[in-house]
This record gives sequence, C-alpha cells and structure tokens, in this order.
Amino acid sequence: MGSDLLYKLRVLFRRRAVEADLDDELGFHLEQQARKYRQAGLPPEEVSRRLRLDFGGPDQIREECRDAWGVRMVRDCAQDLRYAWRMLRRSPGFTAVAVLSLALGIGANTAIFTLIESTLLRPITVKDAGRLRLLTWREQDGGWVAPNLGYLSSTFGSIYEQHLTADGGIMHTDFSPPVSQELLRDNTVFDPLFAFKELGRSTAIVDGNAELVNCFLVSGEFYRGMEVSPVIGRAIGPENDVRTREGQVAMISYEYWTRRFARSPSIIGRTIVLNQVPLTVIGVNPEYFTGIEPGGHFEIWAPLNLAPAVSGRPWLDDARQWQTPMMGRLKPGVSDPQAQSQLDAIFQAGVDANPGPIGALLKDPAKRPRFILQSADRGVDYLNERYRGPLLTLLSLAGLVLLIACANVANLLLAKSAVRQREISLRLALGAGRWRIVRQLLTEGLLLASMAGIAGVFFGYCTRNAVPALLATPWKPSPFDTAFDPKVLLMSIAITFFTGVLFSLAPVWQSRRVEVNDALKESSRGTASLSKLRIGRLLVVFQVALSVLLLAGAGLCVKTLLNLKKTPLGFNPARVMLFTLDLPPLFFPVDHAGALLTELRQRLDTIPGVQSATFSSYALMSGRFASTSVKLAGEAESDLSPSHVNNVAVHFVGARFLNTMGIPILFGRDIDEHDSPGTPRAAVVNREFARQFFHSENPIGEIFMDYNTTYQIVGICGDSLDRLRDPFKLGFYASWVQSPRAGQIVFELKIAGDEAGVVRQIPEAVRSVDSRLVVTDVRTQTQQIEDILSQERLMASFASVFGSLALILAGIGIYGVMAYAVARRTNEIGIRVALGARPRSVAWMVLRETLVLAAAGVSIGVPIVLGLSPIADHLLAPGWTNSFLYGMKPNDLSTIAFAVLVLAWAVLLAGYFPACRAARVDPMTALRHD
Amino acid sequence: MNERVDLPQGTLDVLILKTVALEPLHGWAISERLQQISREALQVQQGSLYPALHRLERRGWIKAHWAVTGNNRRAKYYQLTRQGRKQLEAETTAWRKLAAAVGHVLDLG
Repeated sequence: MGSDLLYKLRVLFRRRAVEADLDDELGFHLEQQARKYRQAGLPPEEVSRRLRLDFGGPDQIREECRDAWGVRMVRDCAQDLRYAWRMLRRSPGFTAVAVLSLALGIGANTAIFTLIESTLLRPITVKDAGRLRLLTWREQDGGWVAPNLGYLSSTFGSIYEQHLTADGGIMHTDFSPPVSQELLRDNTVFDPLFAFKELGRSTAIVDGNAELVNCFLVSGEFYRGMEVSPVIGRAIGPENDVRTREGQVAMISYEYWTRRFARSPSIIGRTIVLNQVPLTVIGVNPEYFTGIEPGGHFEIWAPLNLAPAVSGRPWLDDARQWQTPMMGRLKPGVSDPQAQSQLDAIFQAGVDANPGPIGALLKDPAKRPRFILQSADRGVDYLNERYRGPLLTLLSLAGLVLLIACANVANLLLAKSAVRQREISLRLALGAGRWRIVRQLLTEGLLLASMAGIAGVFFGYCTRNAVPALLATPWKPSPFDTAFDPKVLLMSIAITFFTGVLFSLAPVWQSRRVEVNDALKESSRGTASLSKLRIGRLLVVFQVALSVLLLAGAGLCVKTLLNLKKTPLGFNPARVMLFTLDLPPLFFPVDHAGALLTELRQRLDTIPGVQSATFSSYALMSGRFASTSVKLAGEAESDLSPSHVNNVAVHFVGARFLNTMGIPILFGRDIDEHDSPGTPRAAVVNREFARQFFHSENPIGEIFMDYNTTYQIVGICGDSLDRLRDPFKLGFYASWVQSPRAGQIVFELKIAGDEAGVVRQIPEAVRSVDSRLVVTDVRTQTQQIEDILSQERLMASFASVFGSLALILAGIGIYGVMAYAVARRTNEIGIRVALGARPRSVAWMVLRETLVLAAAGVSIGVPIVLGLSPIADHLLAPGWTNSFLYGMKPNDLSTIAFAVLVLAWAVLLAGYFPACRAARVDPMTALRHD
Repeated sequence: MNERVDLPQGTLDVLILKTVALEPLHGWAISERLQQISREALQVQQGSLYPALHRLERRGWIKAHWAVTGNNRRAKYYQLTRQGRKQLEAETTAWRKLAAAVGHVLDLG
C-alpha cells in the first residue's frame, strides 16, 4: 500500500519526468521492433504498417498507461481546481467579497466553537472521567433553608453555592460530617468515594516569605479516585487521613513548582507553612491536572483532615456543618440507578439520624430532600452552568451570520452565472456530462469556501481570546483555556465544506436549466435570467429576515446591559478602591482581629488622597453576600415561625462604611468607632427593613435578633443592591468589630486625590501594621461591578458584532442583486427613458423594488424575533431569575422597531447606488447595447 | 501460426511476471520472449504490454530501473520483486488448479 502511494505521489509531483520516461520507453520499443523488421529486409512503408499493426495506436497506449498509474481521479480534480482558480482570478472583486464574507462567518463560528469546546465539552483532565459522579441533594420547592445552614455556605464563592433549579428547588453539593462518613462507610457502588473542600486563599510561608496561595483539601482516596499520579514524589493517600504528623503533608501544583521552586526535585520533603500549620511537601501534581473543575488554579493540595486546623472552622467536627462536597468513581458494572438507590437509602438514614439544621425539611414527606447523582466528567462544572446559555446562543447567532454569508456568495455566484451559462452550454455541446459540470461548479464552490475557511480559521484563531478578554477580571486568573484543539479545526473544516456545498447549490440548480443549444444562440439573455432573479430575490429576503433577527437580538442585549448599568445601586461606586486581605484565624485570632483592622483602617486613613477608609466582610456587588433570618425581640422562639423574615442581607462592616460607600443615612448614625466589643451590637437597617418591621414607627433603639445574636438599631439608611436584577431587599449593616469572623476581609477606600498614588502606598501601609498581611485583588468598585456584568457584556458585544456583520452582508447582498437587475434591464430602462420616463421615476422604480424586498424580509423576520426572543431570554437567564433581559419584556417593540429602522437605512443605502445607475442610463447607448 | 489464441482476462499479468522472473528485461524483450516461449501461439498486442507493466509496477510486484542496453541505448528494465514472486507462485498454483479442473470436466464429456 505504501509503495502504491509513493508511486502515485511520484506520478503526481514528477509529472513531466514520468511522461518523458513513458515516451522514451515506448519510443525504444518501436525502434527495436523497426530494426528487427528492417533487418528482416522489409521495405520502410511495410515496416511502419507492421509496427502500427503490432503495437496499436501509441496515443491510446499512452492514455491506457496513464490510467494504469491510478491517478486519473486526482488529475481530473486537479484540472477542475486549476480551472476554478482561473475563474476566481478572472474576477478578483467578486472573489474578495465572497471570501471575506465567508471568512467572517467561518471565523465567528471558529472563535465561538473554540470556546464551547474548551468550556462545555472538554472533560476534566483525568483518566476515564466518564465514570466520575458528583453527589448532590435537592431541597424541594426552594424553602430557602439553605442560607440558614450558616453563613459559611457562600464563603467560597461560586462553585459550591446552592443552585436554583428550574422548578424552584435548590441543588446542594455539601454534606455534613456524619452523613458523609456514613456514605463513605456503607457505600459498595463506588470505588472509591471521596470528599474534598476548597479552602480558598490561604497564606503560605516558604523560607520565611508569606504569600497567598489557593488551597484545595482532599480526602485520602481523592488521588486514587481521580487516577492521577504525581510527576515526582507520591500522592496523598488514605494513610494521610489522620490528625497526627502523618496527616500534615501537601502536594503542590506543577505551575507552583515551576514558578516558585524552579522545578527543583529537592522540593520533596521541604516544609510549607500553610495558615500556621507546617506541611511537608510529598509530591507534585502533573501539569495538566486542574482538579475537580476545568480551569482550576490551586497551588497547594492538602489532606481534608487539616480543615479545622488550617481554616479555624469546625467543618469536620461539627455535625451541624453541611460543608463537604463529595465525588466518586462508579465501580465497573454498576449502573447509575443502582448507585443512586443505594446512596439515597444511606443518605436518608443519615439525615434522619443527624438532622441538624435541615431537620425542618424532614417533617413533611413532600419536602424531604432527595439524593441525586450527577455526571462529573467535567468535574464540578460551574463554567458550564454559567456560560452554557450565552455560548450556545452566540453559536446560533454565529451560525445565522454564516447563513447570511452563504446567501451572499450564492447570490454573487448567480449574478456571475450569466457569463457561465454560455460557457456551460458550450461545454455541454462539446460532450461534457452533466455530472462533470456539477462537479466543476462544486469544485469552484469548495475552492472558494476553502480560501474563506483558511482565512476564517486564522481570523478565529486571532480572535479566540476576545471572549475570555471580555469575561476577564483584571485581578483574577482566567478560567478559560483557549488552547487550540484539533477538534476545533475539524469543526471548521466541516463548516467550510458544508458552506461550500450549500452555496454551490444555487449555481448547480441554475445549471440544470442550461440547454446545449443555448450556446448557439447569439443572445441568451431571455428566459433564464428571470428565474435567476427570482432565486436571488428569495435569497435577499432570507438575508433581510435573518438580519432583523440578529439586529433585534443585538438591540435587546445592548439595551439590557445599558439598563443594568443605569440601575440605581443605592450607593456611589465612584472613586472607591477595594483590596482584599486574608485573615487566617491562626495568625490573627478572632479576638484580636478587630483591633488589628481598626488600626489598619486608621493607618489607611492617613494616606494622602484617602478621604475615608473602611472594611467589610464582602465587597458590595461582588456576587457574594450573607443572608440571615431575622425576628424582632420578644416574639415566639420557634424555628422558622412566621414572625421570621428569611433571606435578609447582612453586611459586617467597619466604622464609617455607609459614609464611605455613599449610602445615605436617613435617621440616626453610621457604624462607628464606639461600636466595640464591650457595647451592645449596633445595626443600621435599611429602609425596606424599617418599613417591613416597624411600618411608620421610629425604630431607632429597637432590638432584633438573628438566630442567637441580638442587635440594637442605631440608624436607618437608604436601600442598596447586593445583586443586579434583584429588587431592593431587607438588609442591615452590623459592626464587624463586634462580631469578628475569620477569613477574608475587603477594604474600601474613598479616594479624593490621586488614585495611582494611593494604590502605590497601600501595600506599604498594610505591611507597616503587620508584615504577615498580604494585599491582593486591588481593584476599583466600578471594576467590581463590571465583573459581575461579564455575561451581559459578552452577549451585548458579540450580538452587536454579529448584528453589524449581518447588516453589512445583507447590504452587499441587496446591492449585488439590484445592481445585477439594473444591468440586466438596461435595455428596458433605456426604452422607458426614450419614451419619456424621468430619471427620478426610474430611480424610484429600482428603489421601490429594493424596499419591497426588504419589507418582505422584515415581515418574515419580525414574527421570528417575536417567537424566538422569549426562548432565548429564558435560555440566557442567570440562575436566580428567569429572565436575561432587564428593564423590558422579551418582545420589546421599541427595540425591534429600532432594528427594523437601522435595517431600512442600510437597505436604502444599498439600493441607492443601483438606482442612481439606473437613472443615468442613456437611452441611445442602452438601445445599441444589444 | 494461424491458430493464435487471445489471452483470457488477467493472464497477461502472470505471463509478464513469469517472463521477468529469471532476469531483468525491458519491454521489447519481454514481448519478444513471450512470443518465443509461447511458440507464437499467444496473441499479445505489443502496446497493451505497457499499461500492464505500469500497473504491476504500481502494485509493487515488479520494479523498474533504467539501464544501457548492449547497443548503447537507454532502456527501462523490469525485474520481479519479492512480493511479485509470491504473487507469481500464488497465481501459478491457482492457474494450474483451474486448468486441471477445467480439463477434468472437459475430459468427462
């Protein structure tokens, strides 16, 4: 087989030499034979007669030899290609427009597909990820018990947050220590089952230098379950599931090993102090390993048993703490339903034995939590959850752009086929088969598509980072991996091929009507052109309809973004700088943290340019906030009694927080320095809170409680938002110093002077208070808000780009068809002018036709928009609401009208030039034309 | 001489293989040799030899090289490859079997 291929390649690429050899070979034979006959004494004319008789026709033999080389098919194609290339070269303008429109379409699809491949399709980088399952449970009908499980639930951000399901339930991924131990002990369907916990930002000390790292805690079976082996050293195993020295080990990521330790093998056995717990490094993870989530960045991996020691929280020791996510690898031969039913039984028994905070759910059988196994081949896939809707929508939009581009090229090809018809019928007359003609047209289409495909892939490759850039947060690593995957290339090739065939259909369809004798007629401009115009017009109507869809989509997305940006926040984000500090409780015992933060706040206040400095447990509008359940003092003490109001936002803040953030104080005072551990806990409630609990009475001085804490109201402030798209909700601000808590703290600085100067001085000021503090995530409050708008920004930008592309492409399409129509009808127009038609009315005739086409497109497009936009709106909706669009209904008529208006202008512009040309037709020239 | 037989389909290939099995030959020599050893009984159009040679070469059963002949003329010589020898053996066996079987059937009548 190999020699056969080599032979064919030689024939194809050394064509000339092979042909020369053939001539030599045959020539030699004839010479020898002739000599033989001459030696036999035959006369010359008899010799040549005999030769022909013996040998056969040399040309025919030569052709048969060429067939024997087995490359006829390739040669024919090569010939088709050469011919197609000549055709394209002959009309460079056409080729450029066609290739460019297609390249834009293919490029858009390539860029989006790159992202879809890496974000939605690529499994996490572990062996046989298809058998991994994530353990979850479902709280029925959204009772919002979950926020009451403790503030800690939402401490570490997006990944393990509860998720609203479509029908109002809430998915949980966390289990309590007793339930998780029972699952581990009694399960026989997973081998192994393992638990883990993201510890988040932690302070690591290496050689006396403190730095912040991301840390991930895993149970002993984790590495066996993920089937990951370390590059050097050994992995964390069951022997490390102990609370002795043997449990104080760590593995580090390949990236950290490279960055911090220059890949030195001597890292094994060294000590890293993580939140004051010394850990011995035992191994390094492989480079590809991102853990249980795609795009995860964790420097340090340590045994889960260290959780209480390194976090200072009673995660594993307190049966009431639902904090531990779990995953498992299905045993071979075990089906999902089997595993599901076994674990459900263990789970239900475990919950009954240790109800903890979810006890309230167990009384009503309809509300009992349900255990659910989820596929985990992409790990804990928050990227999918968050970006599936936007990316699939963008892919559909990109697909529409490609369709419009195809329609354009088909149209251009049709317009060109006036020339081609003569040629095609000539070829038919010379004996070419229909199939040969179709093949020729397809070859041209595919050549065009391939040129566009190459340009498009290049274009897509260059812009593949545009989406991650739009979603990027200046102070966080991007979770998107846009390494170019071969799958993407395959997809692009498939798209290219598909488009090539698709738009070649028009001229192929056309060629069907061409007759052999057309070539013999001097003028073949009669009947065929009518149907050609009809197809062309249909294509234009189709393009306009799709453009309406894309433009309306773009309009809705942009308007949503603008509406969201205009939303009154209730505070003033301007000129507020934020930065984050980590306060591991072991460095900074909670009792002393208040004094430390107060000192730090005062130190920051003295930086020139800082108007006021304060701190809080979360940044406003960061997507994170704590909720609690509140009741007034003196009311009945039962759990979840009606006097409770659940889901009240609570912010623990430093002195002058409201003032710094520009939240107006309506009555009373701000949280201030006098609210210290010795005095009653002070709270400033917002207006909603005051209205709900106190109606018109003056609440200052009143007492309320959340769980076991009592607060005294010292002020009322304006309402502010914790999350965009939410209405103003009940909330209160309490003094952090009076209720200190471990973990991260965010500082807010209102700047009056030079921002850059202040930013430069922050680290020094912080270090001067305590050298173990590390400043991270310096950003402005405005950037913080931008960050949570990333999805909306993504949709608005891409929908606008796609909408503009559609507009341009449709414009080119209309221009092409009308220009062609005018050229075809020069004769007729000439006669009209000769008979006294005014240029203006001729121009209007052309323009009217353009507008009719556009109107037809719009009348098809608008109903499609009305039908699709509610569906897309629902698909794009973020988890906690069911609508993506903000400040309007999906069928916002003003936006659709705006889209139609923009389109109408583009159509008029595209129709204007052909109309002008029609108006300038000189009757004499036109009549002589034929 | 007058009783010439047209070659059945596919037999030319095996005859060529047999002819070049002993020594490398150029096309004209092969055609001469075929005429001789078949005692002029087989009718082979000389030209049709060449497509067959090229096909066999492509399949890798024979290989070709250019060399200078006795009278100082450049010619393309073909010789059997190892693969070609196997093919020749296989086809010879098959041909013998077929010929025997057909002969047997015809003898019965």
